[in-house]
Amino acid sequence: MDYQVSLFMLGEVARLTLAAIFALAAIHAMRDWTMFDGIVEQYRIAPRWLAMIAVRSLPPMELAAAGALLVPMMSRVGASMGMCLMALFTGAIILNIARGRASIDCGCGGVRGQKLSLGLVLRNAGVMVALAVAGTAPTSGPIDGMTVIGVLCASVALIALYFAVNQLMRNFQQFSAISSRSRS
Amino acid sequence: MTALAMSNVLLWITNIALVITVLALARQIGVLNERVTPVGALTMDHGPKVGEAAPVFTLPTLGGGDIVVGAATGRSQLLFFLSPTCPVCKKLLPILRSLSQHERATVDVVLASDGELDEHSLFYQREKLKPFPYVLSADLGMAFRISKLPYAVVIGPAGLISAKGLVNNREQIESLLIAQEMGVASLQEYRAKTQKR
Repeated sequence: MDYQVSLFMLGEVARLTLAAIFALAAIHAMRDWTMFDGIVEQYRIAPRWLAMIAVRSLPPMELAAAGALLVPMMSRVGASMGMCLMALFTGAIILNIARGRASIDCGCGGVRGQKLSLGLVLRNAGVMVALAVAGTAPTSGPIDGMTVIGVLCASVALIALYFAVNQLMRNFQQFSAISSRSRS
Repeated sequence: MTALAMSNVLLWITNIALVITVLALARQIGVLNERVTPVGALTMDHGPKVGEAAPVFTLPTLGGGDIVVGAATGRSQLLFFLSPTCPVCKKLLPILRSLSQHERATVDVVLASDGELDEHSLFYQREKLKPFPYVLSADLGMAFRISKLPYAVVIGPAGLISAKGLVNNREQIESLLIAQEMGVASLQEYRAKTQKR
């Protein structure tokens, strides 16, 4: 198999998957502004006025990154935007773990009540690797039946896998909470 | 279609079906976990016990004037402990608003917190909390041994603590008021009582 074709397919999978993840996170935040406001605030990294701006601008930026990733000519811009956002989120998570405030609600799209953990940092690192692939892989290549099936199916599987991993991390935290409660 | 392509398609179908199955299972476990934990407000065995007299405090409110907390006033009081930085507390404010309207005849809702006055007056204005007395007192929180937020304490008309617990949703706040009406401390106690019989 041609090396360039493999890279193209890999890039398309990364772009589709990331676009869906960012779009779903944005929609999740925009459906409950009050909750999202509270979540941003408890990270305690910015003064109130800046946090208010962040609350209103982060979800649209996520949506913009998702849209840009899907347009071949703008996928590099979308990937860079996504990278900045992920760096910001991951930085905020690491900072709060370092402060010993790991018990705050992560507010990570889709799952409620997930606490901060090293697993989240690793997950974000994975997303950032995918962003790097999405931004650098060729955006044009042969489009035939097999590539389309391969790209679409791999993206659907990866999106579902991403949410499954999130849910499993949340379950794991609940289990450790229950077992520590029954021990005491 | 070659045999290789066909096998590829079949593999994708099974792969996606499997991932979706894993996701569905994980979600079910998550939902089950939330059901397993007590549905009523959780009481923690700290501070003055249910049935005991509540410590009495006279505190200034953010809106101006003083309020007596915990005394026998002939009306019930719902003390709601919150913090401006707790997302769940924020989410419960509209619920408290409707609850205080609904139970206006018998229950006074009092918001309590501690910390910097500036931060709280900002929060008070932003969330339009004028209808509620809002008190700032570290001593009040200490007296009730509040360790987790949002926490609610119901004080009966005679100044006795009738129910208390950690609350995360409307049902749990209501469970405290119902517990007061039924004369049990919490849903856990009610279940323990009914199971013994």
